[in-house]
Amino acid sequence: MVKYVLKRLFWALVTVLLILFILFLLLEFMPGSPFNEEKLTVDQIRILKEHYGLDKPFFEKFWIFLVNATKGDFGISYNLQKNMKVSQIVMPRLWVSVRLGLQAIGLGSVMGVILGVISGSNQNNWKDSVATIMAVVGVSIPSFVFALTLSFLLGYKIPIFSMIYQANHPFASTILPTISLSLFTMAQVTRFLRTELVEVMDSEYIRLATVKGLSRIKILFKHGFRNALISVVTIFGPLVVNVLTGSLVIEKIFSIPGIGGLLVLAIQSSDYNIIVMVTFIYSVLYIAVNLLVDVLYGVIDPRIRVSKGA
Amino acid sequence: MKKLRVFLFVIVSLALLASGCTGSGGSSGSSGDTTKDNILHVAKDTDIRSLDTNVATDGLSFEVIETFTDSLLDYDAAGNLIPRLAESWSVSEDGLTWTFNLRKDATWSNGDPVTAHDFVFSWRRLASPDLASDYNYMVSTADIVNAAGVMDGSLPLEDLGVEAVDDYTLVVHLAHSVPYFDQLMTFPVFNPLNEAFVTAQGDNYALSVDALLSCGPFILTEWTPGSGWKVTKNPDYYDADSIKIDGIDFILSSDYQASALLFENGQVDITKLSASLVDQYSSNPAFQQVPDGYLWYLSLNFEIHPELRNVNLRLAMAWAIDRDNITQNIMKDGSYSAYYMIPIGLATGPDGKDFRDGGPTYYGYDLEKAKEYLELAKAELGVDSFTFEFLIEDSEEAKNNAAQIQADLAEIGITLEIVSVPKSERLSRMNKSQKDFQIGMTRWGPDYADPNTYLGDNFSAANSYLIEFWNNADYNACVADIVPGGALSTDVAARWDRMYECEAILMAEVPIIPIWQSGISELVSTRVHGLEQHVVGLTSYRNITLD
Repeated sequence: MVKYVLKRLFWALVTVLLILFILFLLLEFMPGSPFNEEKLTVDQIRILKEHYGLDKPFFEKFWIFLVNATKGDFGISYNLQKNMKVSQIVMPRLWVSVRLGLQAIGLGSVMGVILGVISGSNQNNWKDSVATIMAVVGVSIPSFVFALTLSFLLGYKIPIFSMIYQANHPFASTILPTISLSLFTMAQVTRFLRTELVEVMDSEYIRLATVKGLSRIKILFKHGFRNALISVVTIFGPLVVNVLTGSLVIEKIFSIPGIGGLLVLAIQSSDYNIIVMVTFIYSVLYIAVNLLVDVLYGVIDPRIRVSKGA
Repeated sequence: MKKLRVFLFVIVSLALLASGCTGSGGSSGSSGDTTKDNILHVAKDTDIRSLDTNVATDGLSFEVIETFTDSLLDYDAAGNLIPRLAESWSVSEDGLTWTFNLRKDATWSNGDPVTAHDFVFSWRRLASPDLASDYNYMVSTADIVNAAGVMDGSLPLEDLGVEAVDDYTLVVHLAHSVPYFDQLMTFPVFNPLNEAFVTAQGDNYALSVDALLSCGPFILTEWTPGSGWKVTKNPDYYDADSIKIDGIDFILSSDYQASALLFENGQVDITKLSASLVDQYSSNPAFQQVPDGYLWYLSLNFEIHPELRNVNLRLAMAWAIDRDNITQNIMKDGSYSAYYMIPIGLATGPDGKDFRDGGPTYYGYDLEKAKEYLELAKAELGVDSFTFEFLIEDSEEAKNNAAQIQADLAEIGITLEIVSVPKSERLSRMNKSQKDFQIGMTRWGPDYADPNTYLGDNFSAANSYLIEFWNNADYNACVADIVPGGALSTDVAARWDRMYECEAILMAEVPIIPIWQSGISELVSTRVHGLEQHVVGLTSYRNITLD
């Protein structure tokens, strides 16, 4: 298992390096420049590029970036928060996104598991139908429609919750975005858990357990649930990263200073260093979560651990 | 089983709660009604980009900087120049030496007095190639002695033509007489900086509220990037008695719909509106439309498309575009149809009237006339049809308006192929070093309240390749008279009349084709009085009172 994880870590590092290289290459070909105010003269643009080191050859720029990045220095912003260290701009926003993401995943998966279990263990009766309808609605409604509705009803019509993010009330002001973001997670978890649970509950060892006279609760949670969970873990990885990296639409509706909106702003104004750091974080998150999911498979289902050869 | 019932009950009650739009009052919860406090609440759609007076480039950053620092001069509500840190000022007869006598009771928030040395330090820093400020060209716009040499590093900073004769006397030496130099002194890039403080902060200067000093009516006390900022009244400000509010709370709301709802709930006093919200709020007593200084126009690349050198072809395009349809039916945000070059509200003449007030409008919307011009052009060029690539940025506004322009020109048989790219790419392609476009839609915003910001700075053969393409002797001679050091640079009245002539020459041949002047639609609560918004100067909050 340790060897397996180490091997995966090595390849993760190679992947990150490759991603960064391709990113630098793409940025090199990206049209536009951070310094193209109508009023700048050609000379001024040259001075600005020299000042910020953008006049250097491609490989030199990439090398300087790698050396500095290992020291945690991702450079400074050219535009969005001029001359501020990029890490100072990105980290607080990452924290806002991660915090909101964790709230949404927490709520979404708890609700999803509850609904999934209710639905899967009461196959084809009214409880199943209610849970399934909720799951279908959750997958079908675009999150922005749900978010706008929530914002209008519970922020404006009945002003219980804040309509926009407030830095001094990070929890209270993110209740509506949390609910909006959790909807999709909830629906996905419900659907997958139900399908899997229905199948598991139909299998022979469950029948054996029933014959042995075990209680319904014990069969459901000790034998059924754990086996059904594997499907949820599979979709959980991408789901977690999606939510953690911020939802652009939800961020916009609730004015949340998250990392998704930052990336878009940075691309629009060619603020290269911010683009690189955010992409770096995205890549690391994706790779880390996928690695974690692979390890989790082994923990949940010993058969996978063996077949992976660790 | 019982648990499930409880759970379903909770879900159903939540759903009922959500759909029960009673809307009558409701508790204020985490978001209180703010109409009772003496703090102004403003929603903004963009964040501060820089708090460094020498580094900032965007209007919002300057607006914020102007709340916590003072400039030498300022505008009153009517747009007249009034003293701020300068108590009085004078200019030598030849227009080359400006002397500012500073007030002695102004202090920085660390207790230091604001002196002439603070200006000298700030201006040298602005011009310094080490700072590489995007806005350092204001030093050359002001035509301060040795500006070019200091900016490219060939001369030491000390050679810049600005000196502190004593602690409270600032003298500026100009290379040429600049008729609007006093107007430039309202611009925050020229605001003072406390040398000891800025040097001590080093690279951290102005990156957080603790790394800043204030000498203005307010102090910036809080800034959460991406979320908002707060200024509070500066008790040590020399004119603190005239500041009637306790502070301003700026919140960042990227969604106009949300901002409007916050306004309706009384959580925000001032917010901008997007075009799509204008119809909904236009009858609201808080609804206002104010002009903005940006002029949007079509740039024509004579080099790639020599046909564009034909004046009748250009006039055909100028007459074929229905600007009122664009501003009234598509934009609806208070923008003006631009049948002129110098924007409404930009500059006030010696007679105390706005340049446009009494100024003529040129051409109009007339399809028949446009077709006549086009027939002339076809005959002169021996060409049957015209097709151009039309470069625009990919904003909603630009795309909608470009589609209308495309349709209008199609009416007379000119084909535009729209190419929509991100703004930074559009700017790059329209830059002097690339000129990679055929017809492009772009804009110019004024830097100071004088028509020269358009005629001499943007639309002169010296600064613009578009005008260089056209290279009209009459126009060049006209501009030469009105620019700094020109024949009329010290004769205010004659210069003013001459600027009308410059505009008329340009508009008679439309080497660039103006489309619209931008406007702003906003909601300003009826409890707010004394908000001062200028086309050129910044929005000023200092004279605000709240009911």
